[in-house]
Amino acid sequence: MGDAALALIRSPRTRPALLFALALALYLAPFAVGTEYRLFIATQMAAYVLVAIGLNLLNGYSGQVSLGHGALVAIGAYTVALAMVDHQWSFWPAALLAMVAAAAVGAVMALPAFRLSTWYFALITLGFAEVVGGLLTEWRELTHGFAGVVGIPKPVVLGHTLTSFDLYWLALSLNILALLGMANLLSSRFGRALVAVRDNPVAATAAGVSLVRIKMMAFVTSAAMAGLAGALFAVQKTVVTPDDFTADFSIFFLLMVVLGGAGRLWGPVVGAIVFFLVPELLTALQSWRMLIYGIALLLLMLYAPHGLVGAIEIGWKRLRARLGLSNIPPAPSLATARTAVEPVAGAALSVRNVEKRFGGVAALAGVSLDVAAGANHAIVGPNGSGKTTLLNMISGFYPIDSGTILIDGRSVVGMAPHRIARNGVGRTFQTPRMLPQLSVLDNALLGAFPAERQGAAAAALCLPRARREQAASLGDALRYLDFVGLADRAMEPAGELPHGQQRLAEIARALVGRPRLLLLDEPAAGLSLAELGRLGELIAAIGALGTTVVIVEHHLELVANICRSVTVLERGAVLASGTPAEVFSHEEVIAAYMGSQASVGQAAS
Amino acid sequence: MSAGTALLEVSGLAVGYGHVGVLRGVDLAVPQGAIVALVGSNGAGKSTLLRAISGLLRPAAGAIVFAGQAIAGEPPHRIIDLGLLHVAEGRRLFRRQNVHANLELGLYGTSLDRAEERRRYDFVYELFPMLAERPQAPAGILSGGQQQMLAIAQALMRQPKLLMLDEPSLGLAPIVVDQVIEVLQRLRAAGTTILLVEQMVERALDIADQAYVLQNGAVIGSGTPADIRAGDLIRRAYLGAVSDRGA
Repeated sequence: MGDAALALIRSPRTRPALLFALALALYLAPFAVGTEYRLFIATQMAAYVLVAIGLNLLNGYSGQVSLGHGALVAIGAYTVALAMVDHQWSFWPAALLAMVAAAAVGAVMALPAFRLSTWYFALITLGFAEVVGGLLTEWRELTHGFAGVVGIPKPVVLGHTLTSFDLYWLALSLNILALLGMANLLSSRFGRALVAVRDNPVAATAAGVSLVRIKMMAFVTSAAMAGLAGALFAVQKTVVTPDDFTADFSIFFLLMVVLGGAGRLWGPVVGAIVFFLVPELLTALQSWRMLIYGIALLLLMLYAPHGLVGAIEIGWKRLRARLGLSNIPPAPSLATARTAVEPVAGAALSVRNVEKRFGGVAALAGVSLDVAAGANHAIVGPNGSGKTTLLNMISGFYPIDSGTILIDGRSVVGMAPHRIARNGVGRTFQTPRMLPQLSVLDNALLGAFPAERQGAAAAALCLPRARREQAASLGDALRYLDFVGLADRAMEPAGELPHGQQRLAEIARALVGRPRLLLLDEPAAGLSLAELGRLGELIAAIGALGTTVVIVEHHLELVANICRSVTVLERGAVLASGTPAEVFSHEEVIAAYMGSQASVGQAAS
Repeated sequence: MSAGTALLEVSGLAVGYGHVGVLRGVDLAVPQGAIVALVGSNGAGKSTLLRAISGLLRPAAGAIVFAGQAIAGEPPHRIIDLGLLHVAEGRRLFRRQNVHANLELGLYGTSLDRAEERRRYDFVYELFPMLAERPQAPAGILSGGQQQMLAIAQALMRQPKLLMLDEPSLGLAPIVVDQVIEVLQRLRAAGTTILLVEQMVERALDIADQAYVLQNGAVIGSGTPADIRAGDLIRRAYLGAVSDRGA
């Protein structure tokens, strides 16, 4: 292997320069090799790439399968065609209208996604595509039926009609902008929220992410890009007919994304090159095309389930590992990371006569407890006594049957869980809910989602305001990872951490959201003695920040050390409450719950 | 202890995830009829060791001999058939199936007569009365402690020669931990050999006949619980890990 190649592997920082050179080469290529036919194919491919980038956002990142994207392209193409031919609009407002129309239809199409699981939704989008296809032929007054719309003029800029060269440059520029915007969007809070919604909706909700809004954002963005691609498609081909937009067309886009590498930025581009450009150039093999397609599809699914880009990534990591290079990127260093964490104003919690039944079983039968702002309170009790159920009611994950829950005097009954999270209630789970593929740092950053104000557009354009916010969140995340003792593992994939450290990472994520009330569900389970000691210090430190902490825990020494008050649940009702010393010397509590740990009672008194 | 009486013998075992070595030449022997505790901080390689023994991970080097047979690199189902069962961390159950069905799946692949099957159900239901109370409840709605009990019970349906438990006390109420400890002692009395990974080191040492201390993928000491308590092995194993992380 040459030295230059080795140097390249050693330093991924050469990437921006390489990409810039690639873009430049693509801009200059027409002067050297530009024929009408090649430009036509290249522009068409650029339009397809635009659709695929948008579909990748939807399918790869938010996990929704759409078999109807071809129809969205059709809506964009027909909007431009009809506006320009029948109503003599100029291209630019027509293209804008195409994006708006596709986005609006995409939003309507998204509605079933909130109630249906992936594949049922995919079938709905397929049906939707069929309906659009039917309308294109049957609604003749509007669409001109089978004949389609002919004679679509080329766009005009300041009196200059765009040539095929100009169209290619326009399409190429749109591709580059789309990739840049997507890269920015994915590295912002929205990228993490999308992955969270796809991989762990419960964690997303607990971090204050609205599943509905994130999915809607992915749909609308994706649809608008399909609409824009449709606009390009129309002026490039100068003719649009219903035959251009069959069901195969939608499936073609999905294949480009999946085989290129769903959930990978470059997946759609590679997919388009391999599944559109290569077959198109091998015109001699035209009659063999479907056969080659099918075989390539089978081989890829068998040997590269993460698509071509996924396979390249895995190979790259193996190569680096073989050369003794780490695949873990260096952690970003920030001056702010070392500054102390700021205090918060804790929230008071009041639970009154809360009841919850599952089927015929009463999980909670009238539980009441009060926790003063800034206090540490423990809920203990036998397994199955309703402790976790109570946490799920306070954080809104389960609807309440009767009773009231007030946080700082405000009722949270009936409030959606992500709204409760946004109101300052952070929580962790018995089994840590991590996003295993993302780094520990990105997991912690998910906690900053509600605190940031930037919209998707500001994030995609990487506006200074968005950059400032992102830097602040990054500082917070690093600071809290340092606070829980995980700073040196920040860049490792969260799934590779041992259980106990995943728990600490989950606490860090909750803290990044600066909760005023923090609910911890068995944080000590699975921790070693030393980690247990650190956890005790950590919870005491969280309490010292002012946060109210409610902890469900079986390690009674930990409870006795860090909590002033304890509630004991048994079969969904309060068996005892008071200071640890009082509660742990209570005879019924010893009999029902503590057993040989009764000595903790003496230790605590 | 002489090697001849060991039910399980591991020598020079090495396991790596990718290019990172997780176990680096582990030697360990579990005598017939004993409870052997495996302790060490999180990330020391305890769970990895159990996973390698039960065939869930392929060792890079070393030998594992169970009941006189070399099992390193064998598929997990064959190792289970030899009578070595692994109750993994985190309650791996069929959550939509009820308690009884989960126990029945513990018998999967065996061919026992009715009376023997009956006897095994009776045995586990007697051992875990809280499961006998609701055999028709789906595993997913049981409390964490009940799920842990069910996971152990499922493994016991096969009457293992060696039972490997990964953190059985995880998420259990103190009184239930007492019950689990008692169950382990009763199993030992009935002739089952047990390899126990447990974070509640004191509780584990209380019932163990023998203990191994693991740190950074290697055994740093072994002996009777009294030996282990007398030395500073535990302190080194746990505090050493802490100072590593602090650096």
